[in-house]
Amino acid sequence: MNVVAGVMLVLGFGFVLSGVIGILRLPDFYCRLHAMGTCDTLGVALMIGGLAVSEGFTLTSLKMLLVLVFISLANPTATHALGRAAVRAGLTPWTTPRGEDER
Amino acid sequence: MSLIAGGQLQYVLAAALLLVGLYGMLVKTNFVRKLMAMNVMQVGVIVFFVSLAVRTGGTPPIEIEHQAPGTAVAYANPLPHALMLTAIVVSVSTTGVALALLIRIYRRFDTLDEAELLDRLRE
Amino acid sequence: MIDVLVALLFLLLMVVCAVAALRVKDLLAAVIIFGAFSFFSAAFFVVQDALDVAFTEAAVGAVITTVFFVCAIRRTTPRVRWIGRRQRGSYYEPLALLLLVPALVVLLQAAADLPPVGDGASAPFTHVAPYYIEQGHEQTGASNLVTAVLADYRGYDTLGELTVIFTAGVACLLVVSGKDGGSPRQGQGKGVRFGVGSPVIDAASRLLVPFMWLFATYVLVHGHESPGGGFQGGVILAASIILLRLVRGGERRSAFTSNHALTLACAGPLLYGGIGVASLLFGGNFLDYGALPLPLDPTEVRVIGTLGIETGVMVGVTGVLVLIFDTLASWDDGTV
Repeated sequence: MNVVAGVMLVLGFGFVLSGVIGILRLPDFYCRLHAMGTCDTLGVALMIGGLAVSEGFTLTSLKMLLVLVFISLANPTATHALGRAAVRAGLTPWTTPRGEDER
Repeated sequence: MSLIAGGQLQYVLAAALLLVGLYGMLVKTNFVRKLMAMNVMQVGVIVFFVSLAVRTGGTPPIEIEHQAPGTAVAYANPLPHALMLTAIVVSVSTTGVALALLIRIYRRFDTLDEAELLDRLRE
Repeated sequence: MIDVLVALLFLLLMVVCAVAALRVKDLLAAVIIFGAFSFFSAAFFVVQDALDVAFTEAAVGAVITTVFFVCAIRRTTPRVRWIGRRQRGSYYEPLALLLLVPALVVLLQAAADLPPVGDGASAPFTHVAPYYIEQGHEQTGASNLVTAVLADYRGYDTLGELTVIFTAGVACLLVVSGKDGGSPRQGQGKGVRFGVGSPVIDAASRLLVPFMWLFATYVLVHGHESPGGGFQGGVILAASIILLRLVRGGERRSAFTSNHALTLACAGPLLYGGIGVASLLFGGNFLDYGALPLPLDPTEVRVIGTLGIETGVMVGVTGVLVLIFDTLASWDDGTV
């Protein structure tokens, strides 16, 4: 059980870390939003799942699973709200400087 | 310094929060930033009290059921926690009233900057 | 050792966030950084075994305060002036440093005289606190010692705090009213335009709000056994109502109007004080729950008494927070 929990925690940490690197390195708000939204949700869900697995079948792990369900619902909603707010504020997506690849 | 060895570094950082807040309230001219600095000072005070209530090797002040009789559990001090609950809720109430006052000031003078406000008051 | 380092790390992050929030040019960005500051402080409180304080700080500081600030900033600062203002951002700074450096020296001297963090024999752990820790569970029936102190041993202080919250709500109403209510177009203003209009957010909030209500009630009732209580429950309930207002487009489209919020805000202290006076009428002292004539054990009677006053606190806090939000967001919309 602890091995599974440890693997889930490390995987979750890896996803969140990649999300953070995306926020720092990507060129545009929409790209960063995508990185943060997907990687963060999965990473946090894996971490909480790992903690719940390491607790076993107790009331505490049930509460952790409820938190996981809430985060899986609320995080994508927040990402959608951010994207929609940016579109309504008139933020245009970034394109490559020359507009098209030369193939 | 002896502060680090003496285990009092948390008090130093709480003092740093208080001073950052005080600096913000004195130096910044925008009223919203002054209000944020006041909130930072309030959190600094709460950090100080919570640091006073810590017991090394202790546990949160919630009675653990099913202990073996005769074992003594070291609980953290619940009294500063109760006082700080009051402080947090009072701070949010004060922030709400202060923001309402700021909106009214803006309506009357069309600025939230203290320097401009003083100029317009003199006119 | 490791938890001391983690606590210091969170404290350091808090100081960094505080400095950043004060230095960033954009006010909205400063508010978001301030929300991060509140979250770091909640994490610090968890590491320092202060679970109730962490709960309240996370619910209040990161949610309610951020929403209030955003409402106020949207009502005041025009958009073109958010970034890169021509105004001078601060006064002459070295003068302030002249005051702060002696203050720092004095505070460091005082910190050196304080007992080390975690010392179980220091002054706060003498006189009253050991009595609360040892006798709290048997005398009040509460496992959560912070609730026992807050609602039973220090019930007067909590009544005073509820009165302060109520006064803040009334003060907000006073700021709004009056003939110089601010705008010459009183009653025809627009308030803050909410109403995101997105079906995704609408559906998610409609799914979440019943569970938020359930959770708020759970936090209220279970505050005896776990971290929680009236304040946290009230803040969660207010947050759910504010969420609906943000999603649906303001106070006008909601069935829970400002008048209902005002009624709740008045009902809370009335319930609290009423229980206190009822204890007086039945022969005990003010707020002495043991005097209430319920057919239960003395400890159970105290538990019911504290549940009653915690309900009063929750109702009062909900009403006042929703009232302050309506004041900040819907003022001179014709509704408040």
